[in-house]
Amino acid sequence: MNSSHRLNKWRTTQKRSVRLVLLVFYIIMYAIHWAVTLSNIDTQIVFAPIAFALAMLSSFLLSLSVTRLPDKSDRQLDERQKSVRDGAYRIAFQILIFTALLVTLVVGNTGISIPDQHRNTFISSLFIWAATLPAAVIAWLEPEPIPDLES
Amino acid sequence: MTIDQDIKNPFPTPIKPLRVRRNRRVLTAISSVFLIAAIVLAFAKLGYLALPALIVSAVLGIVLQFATRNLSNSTNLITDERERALRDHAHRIAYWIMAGVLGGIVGGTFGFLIKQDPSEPVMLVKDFFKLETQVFIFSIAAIFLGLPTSLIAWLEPDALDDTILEN
Repeated sequence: MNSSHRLNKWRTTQKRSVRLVLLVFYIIMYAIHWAVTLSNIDTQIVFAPIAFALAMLSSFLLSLSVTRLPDKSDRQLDERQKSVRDGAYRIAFQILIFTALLVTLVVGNTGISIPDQHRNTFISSLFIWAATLPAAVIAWLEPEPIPDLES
Repeated sequence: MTIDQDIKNPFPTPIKPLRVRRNRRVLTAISSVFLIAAIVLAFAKLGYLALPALIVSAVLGIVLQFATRNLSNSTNLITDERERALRDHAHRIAYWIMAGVLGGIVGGTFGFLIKQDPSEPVMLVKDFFKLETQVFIFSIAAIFLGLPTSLIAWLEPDALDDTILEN
């Protein structure tokens, strides 16, 4: 069994419990990264890049665990997968709207303090979070895979 | 509520002109023009002109909501497979438009302020309670809240003529 086949097998036989663990890891890492970046603690300069790297890793693993379903075009998917993907985007859309409105209301008048050296990573993490949010929704909603009939 | 009960969409069937895609597209275009005008006027600090533009756009948005029978906010219980597919597809397109616009706003704000004193807070909006700022915020919110509906109004084909079905 070559490595690409093993990776493919790992993706398609992903258990829901594994996806949920990755989802929790994803949420915690982003929460830590944003909390560390927006706080004014002295050790921020060390912890912020580590938290950023772990958040990126969690996004990558989460995206792999749902076989990168949200990024696939219609031609690569069957009807059920298309329905799952589009449904995930609908929920992600509502989460993003709610978050954007909440952030505007909370920090709209006061502003937020982000140290100069962390502004780029903070914006990058926001973009990557938004890009992987549908994958997080799929990781939560998608049921346990049906065992392969061939195996 | 039991599963046997016939759950129907509470929104009435739209009037005949709104069942035609061309008319819905015209309404969507006019609503978008007014919304963009509201944003531009708010930027130009003409709040007293931006507010009416936003109100007109909001009214047209409500008309579109009725024209699409509020499909964008309908639950799975009151939609069939085709409507669900259309609703979710519209949200998928809206998601990427929204991510792009929000990304542009946030990225642009930070990029613009990158040279400011790091100890000063980054202000996403200035003079939060001014009329222009409020109109701007509500216009952006209206874009996002109305985007799936506008896309559905744009994509949904002409409704079938009832007489065909009856015959």
